Amino acid sequence: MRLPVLNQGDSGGGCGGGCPPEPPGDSRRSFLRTTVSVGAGFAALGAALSPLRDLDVDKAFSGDSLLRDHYKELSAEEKARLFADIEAQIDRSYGVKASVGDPQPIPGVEFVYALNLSRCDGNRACVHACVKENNQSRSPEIQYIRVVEMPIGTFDPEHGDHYYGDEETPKPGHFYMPMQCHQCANPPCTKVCPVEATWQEADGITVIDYDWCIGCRYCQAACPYWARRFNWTDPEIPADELNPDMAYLSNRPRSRGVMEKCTFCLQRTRKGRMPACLEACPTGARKFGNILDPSSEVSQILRNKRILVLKEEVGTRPRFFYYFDERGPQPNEGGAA
Amino acid sequence: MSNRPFEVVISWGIPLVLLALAAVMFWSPIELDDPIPAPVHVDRMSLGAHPVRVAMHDPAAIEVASFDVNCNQCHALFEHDSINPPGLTRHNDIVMNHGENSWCFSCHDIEQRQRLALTAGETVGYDEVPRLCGKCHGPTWRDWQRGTHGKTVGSWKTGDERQRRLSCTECHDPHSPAFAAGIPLPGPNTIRMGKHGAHGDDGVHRPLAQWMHHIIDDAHSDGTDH
Amino acid sequence: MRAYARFLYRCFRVSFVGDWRYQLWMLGLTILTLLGINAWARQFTEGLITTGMTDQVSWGLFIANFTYLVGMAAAAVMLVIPVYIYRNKELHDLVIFGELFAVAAIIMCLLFVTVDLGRPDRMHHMLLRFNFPMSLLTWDVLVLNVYLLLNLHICGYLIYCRYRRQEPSRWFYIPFVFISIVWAISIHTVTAFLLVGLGGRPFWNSAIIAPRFLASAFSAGPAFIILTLMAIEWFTTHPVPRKAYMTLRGIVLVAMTINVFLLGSELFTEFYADSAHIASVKYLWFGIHGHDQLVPWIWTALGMNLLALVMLYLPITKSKKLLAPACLLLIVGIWIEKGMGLIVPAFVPTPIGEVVEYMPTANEILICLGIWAFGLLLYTIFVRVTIPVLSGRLVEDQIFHTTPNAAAEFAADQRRTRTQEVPS
Repeated sequence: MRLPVLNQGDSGGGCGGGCPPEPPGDSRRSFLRTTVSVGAGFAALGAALSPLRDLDVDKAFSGDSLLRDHYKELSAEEKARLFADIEAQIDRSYGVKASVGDPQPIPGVEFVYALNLSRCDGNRACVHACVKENNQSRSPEIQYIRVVEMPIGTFDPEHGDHYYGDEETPKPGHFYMPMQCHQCANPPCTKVCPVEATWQEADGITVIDYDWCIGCRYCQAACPYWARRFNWTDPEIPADELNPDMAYLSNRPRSRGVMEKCTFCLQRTRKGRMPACLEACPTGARKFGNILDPSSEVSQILRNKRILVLKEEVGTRPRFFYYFDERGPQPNEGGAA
Repeated sequence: MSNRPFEVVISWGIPLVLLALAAVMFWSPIELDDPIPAPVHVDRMSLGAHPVRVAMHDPAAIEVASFDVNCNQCHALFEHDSINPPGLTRHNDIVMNHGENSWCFSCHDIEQRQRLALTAGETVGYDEVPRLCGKCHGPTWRDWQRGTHGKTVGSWKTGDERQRRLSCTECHDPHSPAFAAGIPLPGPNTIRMGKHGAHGDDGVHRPLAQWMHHIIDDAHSDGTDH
Repeated sequence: MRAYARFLYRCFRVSFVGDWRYQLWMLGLTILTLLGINAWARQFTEGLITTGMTDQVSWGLFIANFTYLVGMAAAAVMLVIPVYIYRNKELHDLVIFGELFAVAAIIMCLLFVTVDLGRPDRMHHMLLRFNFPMSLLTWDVLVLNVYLLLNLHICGYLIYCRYRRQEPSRWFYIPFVFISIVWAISIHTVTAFLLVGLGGRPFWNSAIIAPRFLASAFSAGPAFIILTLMAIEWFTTHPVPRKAYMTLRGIVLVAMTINVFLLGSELFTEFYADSAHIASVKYLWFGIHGHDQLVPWIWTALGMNLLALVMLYLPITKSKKLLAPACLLLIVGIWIEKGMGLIVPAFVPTPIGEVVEYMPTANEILICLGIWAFGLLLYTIFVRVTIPVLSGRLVEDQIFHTTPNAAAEFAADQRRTRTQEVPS
């Protein structure tokens, strides 16, 4: 069938704009039809947007202001006002009186983490202590630390098991490799952020301004250690489990649609305390300290121990090191005889 | 060729279709699936910063009938001979699992039960346990002194008053020093992670297992899919 | 200014005019667009949890469509180069349809990036802190927007001149045409570099990705233009010379050959060396640890691409009847290969070895369909408006021919020419 051409006004009425030669009745009818169609279209557009009626703006976009400045441009007064707003928002949402601080890097301090692979027994206390300390979402679940059960004989985590736990650990013939943010000295994640919402601080901690992040997840794609997490929806934390000792750049509750990550518990460590994962570790496999202090434990480790830098070939220069002890198999590990 | 009536149907049909669509979208009959798994319960007690066990203080004491009793209060009454663990009438809660070191007086001083025995008759108190352990565990003692073995809590700052390095026996049971194996805390349960592994227990390949876990779950309710 | 506003108003009115097929087509696209908006509103309300993406596979269908459409947008240049550099006459009157498609494609790209954002309400942060030149994403935002403006300017200027019956001033558009040639290559290169620059993702961290991007774009893009020209020829009176198809067919053929060659080089390097970095490639082509969701897709894509290539090499595609299916196969094949096949496998396994597969949700697919429909809606309107302007029927000082007589004449005229050309 040959079909009539389309670019003529011969069909369905209507005209190409300002067309007196048409019979006035026709023109009016066509105009009416167009108007009705456009009207129905707008009604449908309104209906299409109707899910927005369920949006809880205060919860989803808490404390956000269109005119807010980037963290680095905030004056002391602006910060004070902003932190008070955040505290009020936390009180509204959780009924918890929290204090949001902003501890700054300590001059002469560069943090380094060391983890003893000969000691870790895969108990995952660090994972959950971290969740508790840093107010991570319980539902959906966000955890900064992932412990992988690895068969002896490889360092490729692809051979590991992320979901172990049905059997007792340590499992014979296996070792355990906890992974979290490596706080790289040459971080690929901060490089790629289009809005400078994440950056490396003077003490080596890479932080995120949760109120500046636009949620493009480019940093998540860039990280070779899979250390960054995204809030796919509003995070949920039971109010009685909220840690009220918060810092703006670390463990204050996040909103939806933004990235978050391990900050070496800067709300604790910048006040001289140890990270929560370290204090919870029952095996003493975790070590933390100031690499610029030659007597610190981490300096001793880097000087005296065998070190593994995970994915050294990526050139990220991590501040997170794995190390080993001279140590034979333990009776209950059933390793090599 | 005039299809005028058809044109009219079309031109009046368009608004009707759009309005019907509006109604559907407004009352949205289709529910979204909720991929958020229920939160896992974690025993918060296991996450504290406290030492793994309570070590003996100096001078050493044990509780007998709810009284703190000094070692020598009892041991003054007993003969000082080479008691073997199997022959004990007291302290039989102690499980010895310390390798070849299975003789009490390798560590406890045979004369002064308040003290621990180093070599050549020298003794140390219970607060100096690391020196005692260092008798045999030289490299570990060295590491502990440097801080590369063991656990330091409170502060990372050298010289900070909150900083405390745990002693050997605050983590290790001296009679059975290796850590016991145990069931770890819950593993990851992130969104859309699905059931781990597309291979069922029977080794049958199920490419869709990730997405049909509720069906697979029914078929394999033993939950050992690993 | 008044005249220009009037021009826009007339264009707006014209876009509502058409026969029943046009009306139905536009209605269908409108419905899909509205459904897409509805799905997006739901996503905005609930968060990106409504998508199938996870922390493990954190980019999915949106970014896949984005990279694919960047290629389609760059394809306009494959019409511009023959016309403006090699003075190809057949394509001269058709080049504008390529540029208009670039406009629509870039708009789709920008929409796909926007719906992928966790916080679209903070888009303006881009204006306040722009991490240029460090972040390749800022490069991409720049090149895409400039490319959009370039094409809007070129098309808008040429059409408006025709509308006013003026000879376009060469200085006012020729320099921009040449800039747009370089720019078209840059948008694709930058988008490839966006992925290539990530050292932690060995699947992307390969120098061949950018040339592969270009090759696949320069085959899928002109293939799409061929289909568009066929539609224009079929539904309108606008003449499309047969030689134009053959020129484009030649371009598609060469680009596709290069594309398949580069794919082969990549596969050889990966599989022969068989290094530890092969996991993602293996996942894509064969599956790993029993996870093989993408395997049927990629083999389908390979089959479609090879079949299309063979068809293009054979003289059978000199007839439009077989050229169309070959182009369609190629467009779909490259969409799979370069969309899902390039984005998703890079996330499987994760850098620390976890395997979580990705499956788009219905809501996510609706958003994608909505954006595609909106893009096609825009493109249809562009073409709808452009054709009467080019043929001199929509001009400033004349009423648009709408009398039944004139229409019948045109229709008859067109039917005659078509019957001569393709006997059926």
